[in-house]
Amino acid sequence: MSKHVLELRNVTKRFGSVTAADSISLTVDQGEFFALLGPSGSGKTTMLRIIAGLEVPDEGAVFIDGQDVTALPPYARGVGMVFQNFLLFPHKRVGENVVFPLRMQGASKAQQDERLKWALDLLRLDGLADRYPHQLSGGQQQRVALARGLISRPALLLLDEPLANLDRELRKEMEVEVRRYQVELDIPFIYVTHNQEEALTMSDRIAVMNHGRFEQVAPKLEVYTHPTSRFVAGFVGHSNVMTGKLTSIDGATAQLDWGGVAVSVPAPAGASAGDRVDCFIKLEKMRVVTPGGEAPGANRIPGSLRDIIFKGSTADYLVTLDNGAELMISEGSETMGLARKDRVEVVWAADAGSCFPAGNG
Amino acid sequence: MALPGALFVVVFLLLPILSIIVFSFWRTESYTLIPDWNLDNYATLFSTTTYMTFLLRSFTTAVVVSLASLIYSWPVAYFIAKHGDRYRLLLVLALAAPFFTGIILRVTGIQGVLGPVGVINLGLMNYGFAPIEFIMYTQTAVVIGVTYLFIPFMVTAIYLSLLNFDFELLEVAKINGAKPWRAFIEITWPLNWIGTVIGIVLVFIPSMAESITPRFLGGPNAASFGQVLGLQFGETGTWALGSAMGVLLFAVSSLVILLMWRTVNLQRSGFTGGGA
Repeated sequence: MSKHVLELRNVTKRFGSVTAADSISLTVDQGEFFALLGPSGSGKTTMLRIIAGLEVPDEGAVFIDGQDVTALPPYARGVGMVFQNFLLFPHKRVGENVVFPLRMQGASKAQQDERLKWALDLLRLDGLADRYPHQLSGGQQQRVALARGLISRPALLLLDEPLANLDRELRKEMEVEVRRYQVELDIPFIYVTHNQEEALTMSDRIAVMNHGRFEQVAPKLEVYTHPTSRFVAGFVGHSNVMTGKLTSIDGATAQLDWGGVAVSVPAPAGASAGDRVDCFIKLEKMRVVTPGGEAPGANRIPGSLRDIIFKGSTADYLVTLDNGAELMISEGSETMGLARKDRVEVVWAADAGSCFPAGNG
Repeated sequence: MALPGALFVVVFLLLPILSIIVFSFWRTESYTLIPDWNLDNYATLFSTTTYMTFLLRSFTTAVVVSLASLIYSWPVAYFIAKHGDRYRLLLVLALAAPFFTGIILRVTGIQGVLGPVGVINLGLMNYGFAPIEFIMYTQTAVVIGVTYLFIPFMVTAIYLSLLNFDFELLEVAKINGAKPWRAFIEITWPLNWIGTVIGIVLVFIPSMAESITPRFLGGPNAASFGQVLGLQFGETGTWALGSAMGVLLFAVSSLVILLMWRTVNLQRSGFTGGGA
């Protein structure tokens, strides 16, 4: 049996009437970048706090390196953690902040110095060791927090929305950086975020959380291309949602009556004709063409171009269909010389996207 | 715009202190101050053992009271700040409740607890035990009484400091390997040191000058400097000597404030204003 760095067995945590973790089981292995993705209140931060030992689960067990740590306090678990609001010790210099975990472990001064130099080098903080946290920029503070989390070579590093307080440019940069540290150190990172771009950019595997449960746990591409639940399909990526009744099912393909327009969609598992379903099709899976224009796909619906939202390398095309419905399509921004109010056709394949029994919403 | 504030300080703070300093170099004769510049008052103060004993006693009392309040107040303030939730304000107000009754009543109240016919000793004697003598009209009784009087200042100062303290930092310390007591020493204590210093000063200064409590709770051998100072302006009518005693008290208190303030390193207290 291979030893997992982290294993959760049926972990449950309730706060009053709210179940923040509902019988969660999970294993994370050496060198894995694992993202916990979910909306706020989905229980992802609680999961992280349970792993860290800041919350004690009501049921279930937590194993780190094969050892049951469920009853151990945070200071005996040997994990590192990085917080959204940095939480540097304001009265300690950068060097003292970073070296804090080693001091608590009773490491020798020589060892502390050596590791400090390593950590400051890794995070490109050289020359800042004598500064106080408030004298640093947000990005520098976050790197100090990372250095503090990594200096003692923890079994795993927990990150709680560490980039949420940084501006967009810096976040993009740090996403790449964080991934680099993880690859370099080869320890598992467990990364909590509500930002799907962050999860998709950095992680190997993603767990999508909702209401204290895992909706889907899979490699990121799988989560993106083959969502297994309505929630995941709606939460990950940007999709057009088509709600309607299935009129017939033929193997893997079904016919959807979408507000009077017949559309070919992937048949949801176990569905039968007459079911109401929601179909999610990612913006980039559709194409916009001039009427009769070349494009592969079983679905071809006419409409008129309402607007083009230029985004740089891509553009979003807003198309009002003849039945009044609206679709958004993401295309290369220079593909066509289309203009507002042009007649167009929206084309996509029958097997694009995925359908689920209709939600209540 | 600063004028009203400055005027207030001059009239109500600087002028009285200045006049006290001036009087301390004069002399009193038959209840009248005579502007006859000399150092006799100070000479008397420093050469008379009893005055120095009173000063030392008051100083020691203030030190002990400050320490006792410190040890008592930290857990109380910590508990209110951390676990008081929506009762916080109520708990803090409860601390101030004894103030509603005025100092005489408060001191009499504590006398009713510690004295020979107080709750403790009456209770003990009722069950056939000997009364505890060292809390009856002794220096110990004074220390207990003064501590009781000024503890709310210390609790409030530490409590206010803890209100601004980010308890999440303790979680960070624990994740990074610090046991609870270590986290307290490394994080909580230094980050609340300014508030603690303010508490110590707020308790030390009035304890040092305290005159009512020793009069009620202290025996003949517990007279305080403040008590004797009061006498100069009352019974004996030696205002000039009293002024010199006031100046001495003021000097000692200022020195203590200065020493305490020197222990504060703003950077090391997590003070983030004022740039580099």
